[in-house]
Amino acid sequence: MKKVHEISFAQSILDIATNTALQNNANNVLNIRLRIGEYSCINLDSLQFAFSCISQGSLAEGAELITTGCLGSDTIEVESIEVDE
Amino acid sequence: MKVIKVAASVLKVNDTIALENQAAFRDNNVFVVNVMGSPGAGKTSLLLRTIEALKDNIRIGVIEGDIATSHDAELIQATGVPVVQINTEGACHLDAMMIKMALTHFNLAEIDLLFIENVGNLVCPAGFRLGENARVVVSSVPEGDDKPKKYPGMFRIADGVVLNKIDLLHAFEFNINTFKEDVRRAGELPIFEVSCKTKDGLSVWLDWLGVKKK
Repeated sequence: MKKVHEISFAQSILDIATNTALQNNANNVLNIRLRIGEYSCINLDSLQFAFSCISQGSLAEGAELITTGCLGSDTIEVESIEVDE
Repeated sequence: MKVIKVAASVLKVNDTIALENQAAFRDNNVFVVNVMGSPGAGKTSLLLRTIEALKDNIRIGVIEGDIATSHDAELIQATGVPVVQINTEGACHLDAMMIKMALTHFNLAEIDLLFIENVGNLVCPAGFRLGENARVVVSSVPEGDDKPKKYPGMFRIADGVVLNKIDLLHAFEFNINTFKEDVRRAGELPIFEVSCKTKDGLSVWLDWLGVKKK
């Protein structure tokens, strides 16, 4: 089962990014744009660290997480991914 | 290089499973309360008092979430109601999948009211829906009156707040008006001032539970 919640989120982000890449016949995810609400209780450093650990060996290994804050919201959303075609 | 629009909610996996749990609860007429709050606020004590008061009239079940041990589950088990312990082994919150797994140990048709006692934590459990009908935050006098101000996320998603250990108000510098004002800033929530030790105020909480359940 999942440990601290950043790992749960990182796993979910990784799944969304790799599935989207595969559906678009891409084999490498370069970066992932995220919208993170101010009330989402996410620690961005922990999220980036968790993501770099669990993405190893996947299509999204080494992908950068680019985050945009989002006022008054608890949303966490994958906005877009950038891939190598 | 190519940018692909995604616009997918990261919590979707959890939310999807939470909806499945919710459907299972609805099909079996089970009212589910997710009980959250800091370690030591009195979540288990509140459940013990609630079970004591209601168990002759309502069939109650409990899911206990803890990082380690089955200590709380054993306390609940002594009351005779069915209880399942989830050990999160380090995780700071319960998620919908953990609840789904725990439900395999219950016969939902034989339960009217299910309490899910979350991991003691005022931050992370707020982010994960479990499929519950109501979310309750237990806070307590010794923790200080600043908790709603410092952890607004938890109070914002709550349906009710239990302020426990009011028998200790004389011993702490706890301004109950400050506490209430800050709760109100998070939302129009009922606040139940109780002492699980002396049983003061519990009837109001029990009445609310009864009304919500209907």
